[in-house]
Amino acid sequence: MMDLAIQTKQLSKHYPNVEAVQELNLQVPVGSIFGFLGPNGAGKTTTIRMLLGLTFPTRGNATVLGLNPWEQGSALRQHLGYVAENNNLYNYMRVRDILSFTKSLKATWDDGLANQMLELFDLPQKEEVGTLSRGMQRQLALILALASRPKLLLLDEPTSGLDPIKRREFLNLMLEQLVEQEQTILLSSHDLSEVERIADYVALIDHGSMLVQSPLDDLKQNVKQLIIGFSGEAPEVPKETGILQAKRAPNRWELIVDERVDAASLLPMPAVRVEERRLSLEEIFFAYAGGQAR
Amino acid sequence: MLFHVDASSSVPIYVQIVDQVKSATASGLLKAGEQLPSVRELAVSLTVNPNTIARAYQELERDGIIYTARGRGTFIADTSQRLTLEVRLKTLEQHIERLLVEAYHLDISKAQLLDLITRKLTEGEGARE
Repeated sequence: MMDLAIQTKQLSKHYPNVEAVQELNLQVPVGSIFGFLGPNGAGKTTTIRMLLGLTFPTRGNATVLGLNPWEQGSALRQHLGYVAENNNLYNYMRVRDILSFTKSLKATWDDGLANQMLELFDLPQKEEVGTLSRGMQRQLALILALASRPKLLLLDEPTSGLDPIKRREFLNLMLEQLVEQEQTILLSSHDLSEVERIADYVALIDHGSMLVQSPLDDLKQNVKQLIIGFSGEAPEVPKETGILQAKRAPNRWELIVDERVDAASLLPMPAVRVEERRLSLEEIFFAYAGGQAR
Repeated sequence: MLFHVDASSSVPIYVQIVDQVKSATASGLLKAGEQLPSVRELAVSLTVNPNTIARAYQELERDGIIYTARGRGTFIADTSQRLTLEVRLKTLEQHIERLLVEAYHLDISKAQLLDLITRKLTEGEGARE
């Protein structure tokens, strides 16, 4: 059994008009980079706020670094780094003041790392936070979260507002840290290409529900498209678990299936042609999300 | 940089790296005894997860393409004393099984399949000469 940095059981959050998160069972292994993916409004931010102990769940529970986020929130937050989607930093503070302020709150603050990142992002230390561009404020929030070398980093859309070069440099900085210590990173994003590069686990949520959660490589190896051609009229596609998406054309099936489906046993009659094709993460997620909508 | 990854490809990143090391050793671009970058170096230079690189190296080590000398690093193995014939045949057998399944579904006869293989082998010999 692998060690989990985050485990939730049936975690749910209902607001009067919307079920923001529904029965979420998240399992984030220690030392992983976990891509938490979904369209805007899928429930990612609500989930992260519950993991931080900032929002109470309607039902279910969560264990984060072995602690209960709602009862042991302040102890937990000592070991967490969090970058919110919309950071509200203290606008009247100067950059260097907010750095020393945050340093005073975190026992594990690392000045060397903070300076390394300040240099990387080239932030003016004497300016007031409120005068910085949105991208710069984002960079500052990242520095504040990373410099205490937290055991768990919760990053809500962390690289939005960074240009491609800064984005790459930032991701590398995270990777270097991850190698040095057993750090776990949960990264929410709607940008698949960025997550695809660095994540080793991914979860996809939509409308508050988990559609899939898996090691990224397994997902790419197990989910595939099958195009099956028949000599005459294509029969009905059987209802089987593991068929994520099924399209029936007059003389063929176009299926997207996971590892539970064996093409040979699926066929009610001999096919004239079976083509197998692997899919990109984007295509895989589209198949899962499409299945949900039906 | 010898290695590159296409993150949006349908081929998992660790498989891309395994394939690249294999073809670089097969073509002689990487020579026996040559040192590979560490997991960490390669992870950062490609901006990919270190676990992904580690998995690729594990796979390559299992296949006898590379070896790790404790404390010194990872090196390309001497291919002449790589794997026993038995292990190599076993690996190939899995590929052949997949080929046979595919051939069955495509309704390719035994004779047609053998023909095709012979033709491909001849083409390969021609290219190497």
